[in-house]
Amino acid sequence: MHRGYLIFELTCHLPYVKHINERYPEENWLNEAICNTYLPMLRSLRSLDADSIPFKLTLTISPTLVAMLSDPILQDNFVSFMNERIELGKKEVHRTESTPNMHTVAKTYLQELEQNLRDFTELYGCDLVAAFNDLRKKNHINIITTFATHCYMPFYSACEKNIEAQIYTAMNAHSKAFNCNPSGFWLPELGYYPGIEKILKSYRLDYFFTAVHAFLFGSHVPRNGIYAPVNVSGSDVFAFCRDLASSAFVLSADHGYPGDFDYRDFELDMGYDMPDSYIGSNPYGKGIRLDTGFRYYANTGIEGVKNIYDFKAAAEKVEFHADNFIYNLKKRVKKLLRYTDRPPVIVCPYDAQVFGHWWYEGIKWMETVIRKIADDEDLSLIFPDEYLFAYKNNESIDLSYSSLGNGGYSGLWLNGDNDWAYRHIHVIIEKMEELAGRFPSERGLKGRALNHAARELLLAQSSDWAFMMKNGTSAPYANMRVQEHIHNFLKIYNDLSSNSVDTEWLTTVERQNSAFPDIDYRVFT
Amino acid sequence: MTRERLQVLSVSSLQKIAASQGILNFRDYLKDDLIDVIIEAFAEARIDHLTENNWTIISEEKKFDIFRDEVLPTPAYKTYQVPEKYNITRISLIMVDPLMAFVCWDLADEIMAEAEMIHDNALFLRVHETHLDTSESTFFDIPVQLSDDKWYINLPSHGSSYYIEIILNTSEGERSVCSSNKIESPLRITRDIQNNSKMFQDDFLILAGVYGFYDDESGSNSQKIVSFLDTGTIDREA
Repeated sequence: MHRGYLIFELTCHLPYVKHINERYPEENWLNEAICNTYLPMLRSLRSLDADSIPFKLTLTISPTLVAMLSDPILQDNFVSFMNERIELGKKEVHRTESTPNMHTVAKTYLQELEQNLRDFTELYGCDLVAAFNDLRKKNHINIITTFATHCYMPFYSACEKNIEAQIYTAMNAHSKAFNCNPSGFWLPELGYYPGIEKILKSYRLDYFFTAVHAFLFGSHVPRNGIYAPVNVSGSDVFAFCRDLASSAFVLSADHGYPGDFDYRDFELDMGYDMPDSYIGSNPYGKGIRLDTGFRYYANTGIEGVKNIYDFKAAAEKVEFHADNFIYNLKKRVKKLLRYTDRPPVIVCPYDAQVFGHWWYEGIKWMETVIRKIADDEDLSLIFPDEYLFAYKNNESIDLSYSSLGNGGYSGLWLNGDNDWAYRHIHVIIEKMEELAGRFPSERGLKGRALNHAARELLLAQSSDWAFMMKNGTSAPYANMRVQEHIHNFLKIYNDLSSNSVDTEWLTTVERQNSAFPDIDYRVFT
Repeated sequence: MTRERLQVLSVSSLQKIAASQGILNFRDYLKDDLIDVIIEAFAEARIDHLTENNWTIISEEKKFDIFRDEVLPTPAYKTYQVPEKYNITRISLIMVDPLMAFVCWDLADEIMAEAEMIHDNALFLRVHETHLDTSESTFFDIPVQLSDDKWYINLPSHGSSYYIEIILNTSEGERSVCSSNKIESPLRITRDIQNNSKMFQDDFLILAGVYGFYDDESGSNSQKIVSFLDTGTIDREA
């Protein structure tokens, strides 16, 4: 038996972005995620499997990401994106010939791009959902789900049918994609409100994750603190609490590993330095500049100086930081064992795109941590349901309203920058319920229109839109998307109210916003 | 710094603070107004501080940061019209944090027309509060304009249940137009740690994953935990 356990949870999520007639740079979020995170991550996990290294990772793969990864149009877009990157890579290899250090970096990037494209098209047949599912079948990864559109549910806690629609649609999409039901659930942004456990229970979900506030400000402090799951209000749905301090090793801007001087700089991208004529045109408008992924510099840490990135130096730091992470975890476990009545479980949830996309070396770091833990006698990776099976008596407590947002609450997703949206969304939730009542069992064209109305309603609720409006990253796009979904919903509502359906328009919007093909509007009945 | 502490400072001291907070034209303000803008500036600075220290949020931001639209041309985004009014009467109450809620509402045309016939204070929000421990109920009113459709409400207490009515102030008296859903504000205290021994508090810090982040020579650990959770300030050597 090990002295302590570690749950690595990686949240794989992007909001649904698909455009047929228009082109927006935001469509590259998916391409960047596949190229920088998901393909390298799959390669790393398959390498662990090939070496017979035991590992257990919990992955939340959101229904919107599943929908995008499964979409043939978006798969084709990715292949085009990669071909353009590879062409640029060849130019970069040629351009950097006279500067050997940069040339080495450019050649490595080109090799990585070519490997990614081969993996995507030849190894996985463009189907990354199946690739993740293969690892699940080998019991290396545990895949769980989240609300259909990653909705911040505390804002809709009074809208029962909407909650039902979000979770019902998510569970259907998950079981269709992975041929199994998830054992647990990711609350988007760790947004918890008392009572949600009852809904999760009705879907036979055994556990979810929370922020520290939920545990510490609940009905009482659990005997094992945040280092063992709790039975939420006696519901037999269990909550695991994230460990802030362990997350800080990776995520802290000032002290986290990614800021090490030898690691690659995230900001300095060739795409903003070279002339348009060199980079090539893009379909998003004259003068729009995008990341190219060709980043030649290390963080360095000396003001005004940037060293060329050195793969060898970075690889040495990866080893060092993997050792440091495990050392700190073991130190924590040793201290905790004096207090807990069982081996503590340390929960480390991360957005998957921290690894590879932001922290270039992050995937290698995670692989190294996994390899080292596999040989460790004290520490082991575990799935949440395995821990629950091993330690059955868990204290019952009432958790507190909370999230991972600033101050532990909801202000990030509801403030002067994004509050305009909530009045409209709450109105159209009620209108959707009204439509479902008026048309309880429609099929054919009306059924299609009603299902699409439900789809537009759910898509408007992604927490990402409110997040972007507040933080300013792609805020105009986020505003447009929420307006678009409200507009599309209301067009269907008004059409149905006048007993007509605009078939041509409906076909167009169905093709564009084609997530959740099996959505059933009757869940709002 | 609290309002009470600012009140005891001289105007020139307040002006120095205002200057340090980047408040423009601070010499034009009377003392009370100056205190108001300083408190507002502190609140904004605190929000910025919280954001800068929330590693999870910063990491989430990075994945959307793949092109630059700050100084370079921005893409041409389409605009979609959404209605200003829906001609329905409804109200939603959403909790933002233990001390703040957001309320948004719609009023049907007939109610708007009736309200327009009344000159002053035609509409107000009645905020009903019930203390969860004592079941004691109370309420307070907030006048709103006919053009308003949303409002942020400062919640007076932790651990209370709230709902809001929209009241129309007619010549025959007050009339409730609609009522919101109920929300319950969390207590935002660590109950077991209140009044407990220092030993217990130390154990608690370990079990909360925050041991060593603070030296507790004086003051309340509970408050420090709140502060830790708010700011995410961390000592890596802990």
